[in-house]
Parts: sequence; C-alpha cells; structure tokens
Amino acid sequence: MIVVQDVSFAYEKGGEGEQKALEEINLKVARGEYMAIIGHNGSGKSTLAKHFNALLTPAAGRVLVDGMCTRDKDHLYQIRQRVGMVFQNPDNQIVATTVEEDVAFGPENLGLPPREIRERVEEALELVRMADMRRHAPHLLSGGQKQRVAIAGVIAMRPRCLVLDEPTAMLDPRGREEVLQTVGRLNREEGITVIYITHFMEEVRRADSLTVMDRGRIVLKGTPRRVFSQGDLLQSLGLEVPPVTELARRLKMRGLDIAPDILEVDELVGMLCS
Amino acid sequence: MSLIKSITIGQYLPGKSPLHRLDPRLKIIALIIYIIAIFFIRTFTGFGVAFIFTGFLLLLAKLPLGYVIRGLKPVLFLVVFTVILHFFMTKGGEVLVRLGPLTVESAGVRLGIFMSLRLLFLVVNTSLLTLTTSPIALTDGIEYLLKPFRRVGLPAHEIAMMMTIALRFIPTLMEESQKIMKAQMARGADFETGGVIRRARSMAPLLVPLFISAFRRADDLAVAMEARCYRGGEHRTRMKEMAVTPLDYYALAVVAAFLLLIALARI
Amino acid sequence: MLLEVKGLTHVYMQGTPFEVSALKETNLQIARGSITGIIGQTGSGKSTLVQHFNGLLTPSKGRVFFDGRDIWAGKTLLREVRRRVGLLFQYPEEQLFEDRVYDDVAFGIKNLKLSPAEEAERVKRALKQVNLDYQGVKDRSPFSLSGGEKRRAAMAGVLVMNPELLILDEPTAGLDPRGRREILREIKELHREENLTVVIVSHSMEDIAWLAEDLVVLQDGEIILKGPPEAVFAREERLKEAGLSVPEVNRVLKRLKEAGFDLETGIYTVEEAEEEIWRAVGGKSCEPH
Repeated sequence: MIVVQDVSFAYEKGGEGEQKALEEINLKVARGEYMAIIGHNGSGKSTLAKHFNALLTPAAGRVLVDGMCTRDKDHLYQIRQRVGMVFQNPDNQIVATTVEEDVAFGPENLGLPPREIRERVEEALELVRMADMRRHAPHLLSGGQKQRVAIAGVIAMRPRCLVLDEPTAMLDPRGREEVLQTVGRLNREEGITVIYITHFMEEVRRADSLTVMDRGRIVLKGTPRRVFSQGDLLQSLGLEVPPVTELARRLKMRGLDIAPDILEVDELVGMLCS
Repeated sequence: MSLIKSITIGQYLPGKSPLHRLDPRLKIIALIIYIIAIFFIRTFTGFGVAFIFTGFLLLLAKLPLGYVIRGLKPVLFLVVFTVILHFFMTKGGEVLVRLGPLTVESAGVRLGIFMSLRLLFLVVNTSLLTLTTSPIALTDGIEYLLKPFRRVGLPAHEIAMMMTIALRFIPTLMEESQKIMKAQMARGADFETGGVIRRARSMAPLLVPLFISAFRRADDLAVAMEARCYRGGEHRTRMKEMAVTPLDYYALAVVAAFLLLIALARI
Repeated sequence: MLLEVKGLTHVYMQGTPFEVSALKETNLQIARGSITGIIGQTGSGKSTLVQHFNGLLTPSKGRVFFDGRDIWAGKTLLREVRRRVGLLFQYPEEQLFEDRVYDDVAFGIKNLKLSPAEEAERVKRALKQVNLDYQGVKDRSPFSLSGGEKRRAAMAGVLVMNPELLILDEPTAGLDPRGRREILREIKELHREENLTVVIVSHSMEDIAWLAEDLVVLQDGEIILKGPPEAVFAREERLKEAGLSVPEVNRVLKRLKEAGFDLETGIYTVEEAEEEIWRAVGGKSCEPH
C-alpha cells in the first residue's frame, strides 16, 4: 500500500542551517495492516506521517502510495483521498459549524454529487457511532467525540489508509478508549489500513507491527511482543513499556521463569500461577 | 462552560418551521428589502403593517418569544438613547413639554418613536434570519449572492469560507481567552483595576498567548484542510444544495404584498 | 488545616436555561504538608473544585477557608490568597507571553516591589526548582524552548511566588513519557524538600498512585471516595462506576491473591509490586529458577 524508500527530510530553520528530521527511512505498509509508530517528541514520527499523504515530500528518496509517487503533482489529490489523516489537536481540524457539515467537507472537496456526499456522511457517522449527534456544534463535544468526528471526516472520503498522528495525546482515558476502539474496528471490519502514531506504548498492544523511531531514524521494527521485550532499549529511548510488561521484565531479571513479552495482566498472572 | 452560551444574538435555533425551510438566499434578500422598506415608512399605519408582518413571521417561525425578546436587550440602550435624542433635539410642530430651556415638540416625539421602532424591527427581523438559518446555509446564501461580484475581483468563496471558520472558532477562542485570563490571574495579573493605559498594558498577558494560539490553530487547520483535499472553491460541490421550492414562491408573494401595503400606507 | 472547603456548590450560568451544577455540597480538607490527588473523569468537577481554592471561581454556595480564614471575607485577603496558593493550569505553556524566560517567570512578583537582586534571586530559585538552568534559559525566548521545558518554565512562573499550596491541573497532559517522569519527579522533590503542600489533579492512575498520599475521587460533582490510596483503590468496583480504573500492577496483585498467593494488595507501583511478588512467590515455595 505504502512504500517508503531511503527517505530523508530536513526542515529549514532560518539561518541556523539544516536540521535533519528524517534519515534514510525505509518502510513498507501492507494493505489492511495495523501499524503503529512510536517515539518520543522530536523523534521524527510526525514528520514521517506528513510524508504518507504528500503534505511533505522527501528531500531524498521517495514515497509511493499504491505505486504513485508523492512528488508527482498529478496524483496529489488521488493520494490525499486514499491516505486520510487525523491530527493531534481535536479542535484544530474541524472546519464547519456542525458535525455533519464537517464530515461532508472532504467529499465536497472531491466534487462528488450531493446525494452521494449525504450517503457517505451518514455511513461515516454510523461507523464512528456519532450519527445521533450529526447536528451538534463541534465546540460542545468532548475531546473523544471531536476526534471521532475527525475520523469520520476522513472515512467519508473512502480512504484505503488512515494515518493518525497522536490522536489521543490531548484526550482523557475515556476519550482515548473511544478513539482506540473506533480505529480498531475500522481496521478489522472495514479493512482499512491504519498507521497509528503515538508515544503511549499501552495503546499499541493491538497493532500488527510496531516501528520505533528515534532522532529521525527507525531503530526497531517488529510485532508488539518482540518490541516490548526490548525494555532496556526502549527505556534508553525515553519510552515506557506498559506497567505489566515492565513488571514482568523485572521479575524475569530476578530469575523467575516468565516470557519477556507479556502484554496483558492476565498473561502475567497466568504465568505466575502455572 | 462559559458566558457566551447565554448570548442569543446571532445564534441559530434548529427547527422545521416554514421559515426554517426557506431558501437562505430568499431570506437574505427579503431582509434587505424589509430593512430598506421600514426606512421609507412615514406613518403609524405603515408601522402597523410592519408590526403585523413581523408578528406573522414570528408565529410562523415557532420561536420561543422570550428568547427573541432577550435578544433585544443589548440594543435597548441604543433605542432609549435615540428616543431621548429625538425628543429634545428635533424641533417642529407643537410644543408638548417645556423643561426650562428644553422643549419637547411633536415632530421630535414622532421621529423619536419612528426611529426606535425602526431599530427594534431591524433587530427582530435580523435575529429572525439568524435564528432560523443555520450558519452554513447563511454563508452558502451569501456566497451565492456575492457570486456576480466575482467578476470585479470579489473572492466570494473565500469570504464565505472565512465566515464559516470564524463562526466555528469564535466559541473556541472565547473559551480559551477565559482560560488564559484565569491562568494569568492565578499568578497575580490584574485585569480589572487601573486607568485606561494601565489596563491596556495589562492586556498583554492575555492577548499575546491568545494570538499565538490563534496562529497555531490557523496553521493546524490549514494543514488539516489541505489533507482533506481542499483546493479552494473550484471543483467543490456541496452536500446541501440550495433549491427553490414552492414555499419560496409563496414567501416571495408575501414579501410583495408587504411592499404593496407599505406603499399604500405611505399615501 | 491549610485549606478547608465547606458545603461548596458551584452552578454555572445560574438562572439561565443552560444552568449546570458542577459541584454539589462538597466538603474537603487539605492538611499542611500533604500531597493530595484529585481524580475523576472529564466533567466530574475536578477543575471547578480546584479553581475555588484560590478564589478564581466564586462559590454559588458554601465557603472556602485558607489558613483558617474565609477567603471571600475581604478583597485584600483574596489577593493574598492568590499569592499563597499557586495554581498551574492544564497546558500552562499556553500562558507564556514575555520575550524572555526571565520576565515571564518574574511576572507573578512584578508588583511586589522587590529589589532587582531579590527578584533575580527568586527567579533563579524557581527555575532551579524545575531543573532549568538559570544562565542557560533566562534570556532565551520562552517560545524557543522544547515542549517539556516550556511547561517547566510556566511552572517556575507559579513557584516564583513562593506559594504554600501548589495546585497542578493535569501537569503531565500531552507530554511524552520522558517529560512526564521529569515533571512528576520535580513535584515529588518540591513536596519532600520544601514541605510544599500539593494538590494534583490527574486522570492518570499510575501518576497519582506514584505521587499522592491522599486521594479524592469525584463523580458528577460529588466526592464519592476519599482517603489513602490503598483504601480508595480497594474499591475497584466503585471506581469503575465512576469511569476510573485501578493501576495495572495493582490488578496483577489482586488477581494473584485471588489465585491463592499470600500477598499484600495495597501496592500500586512497579517497584513495590516486584518486591512483593518476589517475596510471595518465594514464600509459596514455587521453585525459583
């Protein structure tokens, strides 16, 4: 679905010279995959995210979306329709004054006939469970609801891939749960490819694969279990494994016979009881 | 939670009344005609016609009357001021009251009442428009009506888009300014006392963060809009198309009848 | 008692159709030198409650006493209370506005008419309390700092007033794990070394469990649980009703106990849980490998 080849990127900072934000990134995202990218602030993960739908184009290397190069201006809107993006601040991505009008914004930009826009808006609102609030004003919604509206706004464009850039960073636990469940469902039931960017390790347990970034480079790739078992490395990168995983790691270091890749409470309890 | 939610002017009350269902373009044009018309009214009969017409619309719109009246509060001062000004300053006709050097004359009373009635009708009917028309429909209507002016370089779509975004972000920024104000008060800022200059200077701790945040929001929003394939007004369609229905023709007939009656009342 | 709240009720937009009561008949005491965690879902009234502690919100009903005096007894008292009670809002970096970090931090003490040397001393101390290097940052623009540094600079802007009570509303919101740990550690140090009374509002159970000695749980504007962490976290079901969960490691311990292990369940941090499980597993003569 998306191929990133040897991508480097630098933001130009007035006078101070260049700052490398990405260095020789190689990445492949398969159709239907749920990929999570983690890293602390400034690791380059948001810069990478903006490359997936041509909001940024690489300084070196290339990004291909379904074979289309993001640098190719002719495919720009096709790429952006296929790869939708949800951002961190729920307030700053809602354009219109009602929920349904905002969800319609993307399809309207695609120039679709009104009837089809209406259908897509209804469908997208159903998918994120916000249909009952279609006429609400955005500023009266909770953070989790706003993010679901933002997701619906992207879904209404019928993308193949959904990129979420720290969508829960500003939410409370309930809002976070709402967003995670919505994203999981879209991936499982609708077959939408998901690229989920975060610095919360406990949010990525459900991902198919995990990519860890640090200072513009990919430092680790694998299943959540494999990545989580590298507790020491993650800690040195300023990341935190979920408390249960950390507890298991410590007990294992003390000599208990525990697998190094515990993700859930029940798993650890099960191992300790056997 | 904040104060702004209690302000009624410019607010929209969703509903299904005939007035809600009218084409926004028609409503905007009708309002403009109405405003021009009430400035031509010169007789009490004429105001009677205007009153009946407005009352009819209010009934039709099924709006809570208290809500509409509360919306008048902010202009009440202006109305009273107009009345007083005209009572004492406009001369002509018989002298009705004499207060030392000041006199109230019949022409002044007449004009004072007329002017305040015009103001009240203007506000009530404008809120009738905003209360029964969603902000989106309103901006769509304005965009459409401005289209002919595109030929002289007026960016109709951009103006409408800016209005939409402004409407969307006003509540957000209001809430934010309250939050910043409290945060600065918590560290000793004083927004309430001192002279004009001191007060203006004391606004920096509020305005600087507010502007920074507004710019950041604008930046974020621009990126988000771009990510959603926004490329200006071209190629763009709308989910809700404005369509003229039989209802609009009836409304047009009512407006025409109103104009005719006003003209008759003038004679 | 440093702070006492009696029968506090707060109604937003009283007398309008939009009326919402955010707090109902709340009673609470904060002892000098304590560190209290206030938890609850968004909309449970946490922020409304703490904004009464320094008089930013006026009670609709009830009273707030600081150091034994009703803070609404007089206008001058309110000003004094605002100085003695430091309140750090959520995302405090959004309130930075001066050109230099120094001026921003000094903002809260500008009208105390201190000598320049005294003022500099206070700023230096405040920056040190949040682990920012005075020489390194004082002349820099606050907007050139990193996210975590900005937040700490904003915190220094409150600490500079030498508050006796420090209230932090979601101090770790939006930070990455590294930034979160740093802030929490600084708060703990402030509490321990300067005996500062701290109230921290959070929805991170892990953070609260690590930091607080006393917990207050709010739901729909009412205090539903109050007490030391072990007493509050023991009420897992009640917390769940309020939309909250107990820390993950605590769940491990409780499950193990149910499974027949003999261990202490009043534990919330990874370090303590490690010790306890190690002890229990050894005690149950499970073969240590």
